[in-house]
This record gives sequence, C-alpha cells and structure tokens, in this order.
Amino acid sequence: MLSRSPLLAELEPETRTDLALKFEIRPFTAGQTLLADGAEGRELMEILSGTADVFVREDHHRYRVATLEPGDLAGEHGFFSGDTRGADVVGSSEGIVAVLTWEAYRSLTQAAHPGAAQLELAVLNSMRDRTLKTNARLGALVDATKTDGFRATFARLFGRVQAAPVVTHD
Amino acid sequence: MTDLTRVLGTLAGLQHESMGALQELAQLFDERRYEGADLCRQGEPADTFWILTSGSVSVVRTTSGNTPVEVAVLEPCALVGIAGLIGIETRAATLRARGPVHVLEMSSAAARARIDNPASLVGGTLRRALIAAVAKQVRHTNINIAKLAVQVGVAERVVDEKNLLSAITVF
Repeated sequence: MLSRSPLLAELEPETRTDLALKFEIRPFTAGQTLLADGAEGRELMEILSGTADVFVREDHHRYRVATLEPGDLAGEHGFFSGDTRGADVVGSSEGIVAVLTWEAYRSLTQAAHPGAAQLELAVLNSMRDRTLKTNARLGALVDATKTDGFRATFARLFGRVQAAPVVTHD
Repeated sequence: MTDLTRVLGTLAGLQHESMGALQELAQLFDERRYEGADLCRQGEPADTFWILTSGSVSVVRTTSGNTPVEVAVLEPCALVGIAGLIGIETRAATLRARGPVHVLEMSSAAARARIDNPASLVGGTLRRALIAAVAKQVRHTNINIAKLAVQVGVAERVVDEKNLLSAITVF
C-alpha cells in the first residue's frame, strides 16, 4: 500500500524499497488524535487508508480547514522546521498511516541516499497543490468579506454552514 | 563563518545543514536593499525570490473589488516570494517593504534548476528550506481562514482544561 502511494510510487524500485523500509505503519481510529496542536514531534505522516480532519485553533475555537484522504501528507512543517505542531489532525474514520521519523530521514540525508531527495521532491509537489488550494480558499473568503455572501462562501468551500457543537478536550 | 552563512543557518529547515552547504548557498545570492518599495506585485511573473535578512515586509492581497488587504507581515529570517519555486507562475500577492529592508535575491529559474536536481548538494539545502517555508505559509493561511471562521460564527468552541482554569480565575 505504501509503495503504491503518491509519495513513493514514482521512485526507482530499489530506492522505493529502501525508503519504504524507513516508514512505520500505524492503524488509527475515528476520533484518535494523530497530531496535536502545540505538541513537539518530528514525524512525517502519509495517510494510506481512511480519512483525518485537520483543525486549526484560534481564540478558544477550532475550525476544520481540510480533510486528509489516502495519499495526503501531514506534519511537514514540524518535520522540516522543528517547530511545534500547528494544527490538530484527528482521524475521521478508521485508517492506516505511514510514519517517517526524523531520525530515519536524517539517516538517509547523511548517507546521501537518493531516496531523501526524491522524498523531498514528492513533498514539495504535494505542498504545491495544497498551497494553491488554501490560497484560493483564503482569496475567495477575503473577497466575500466585502459582500453579503460570507457564510455561503464558507459553506461552499468547507461544507459546513452552522456552528458545530462545543468540543471538550481532556 | 561569514555573516551571510550564519544568517542562512537560522532559516527554518536549515539548522542541520553543513557549513559547506550553507557557504555554497550563500554564494548564489545577491544582496539588495529596498525601502518602502514593492519587491514584487500581485499578478506579476514569480521569477525572483528573496531571503529577508532585516526589516519587515507586508503581504498585501488585492480583492476582486480592488481593495488591498494586508494578510501578513513577514519578519527575518524568512524565505519570501517563493511561488515560482513550486511551479506557481504568477504572484498571488504584493510584497511591500515596510521601511528599510535587506534581502538576499536570486532568480527562481536558477534555484529551480538546483532544486530539481537530486544530486545537487545545495539543491537539497534549498528543498528543505523551501518545504519549511511553504508549510509555514500554508499554516499561516489556514490560521487566517480559522480567524474568519470565528468571525462569521462557524467555528467550534473548544473547552479544554486551560480554558476552564482561566474561567475560574475570573472569580
């Protein structure tokens, strides 16, 4: 499943095998937090099956800004920058995630393994698509602030029109 | 270690780079100064990018109704104007120097040639800085979306232990 994923599918077979062996495969359940806002951690994740929601916190609220599907990545910012996590990523179904630790990635870069460069290029490709999508969404919302269609624009972009119930965290 | 190398070593994603890689990267840039001017404008080709080393830069997006909105302020040390490095050909916003600003400048095409070359040492350095910068930009964009969601009343209220404790201290 990992070998056929967008992150590895285009690689040379030998490189793909080497890289695949660096990942850990973990199951997750609906409601399970895969990444927590503000937490330390340098793990890069690829959803292999199932879905997960990405929530961004703001002023005692949170908003679901994306739903990750198989092939989507999570945790790139913390992984490459070393910063704390900037969002909650929560399973919205049962699924499987592939996890690359920073130490495993560093072992590739220090050995000048071609898989490290290919992985970075695949991540960049994924980030390009996400940048286009989020920029387009923010642009549409900024435009909508000048009209009376603000809530309708949220509904069109994110599929939720009414305020969701209060969420309690332990 | 030169000042330039030291500055590059503070960029997100480059904290673990070798001195040799940072020195090679430093040699690719031209140093420039802007004051109150636009580094680039929305709608223009994304043919240049910068590393902001001092001063601050406004990110201004003009809406379809021709209203300019400041959507971010960038501070050193940061990779800015990076659309062209990830294959986005046109600027989505204007970058405006707020007072005097010092930058390192490089053409997007020259950087892309290195980024796309898996065997290039400096290409790897650029890729890691770029991923960190793009991810930070997406994060910032999502925060702006969440702020608008709170403003319009469609965000979920979160009650956690920290919030509850802060409520109790009101007594």
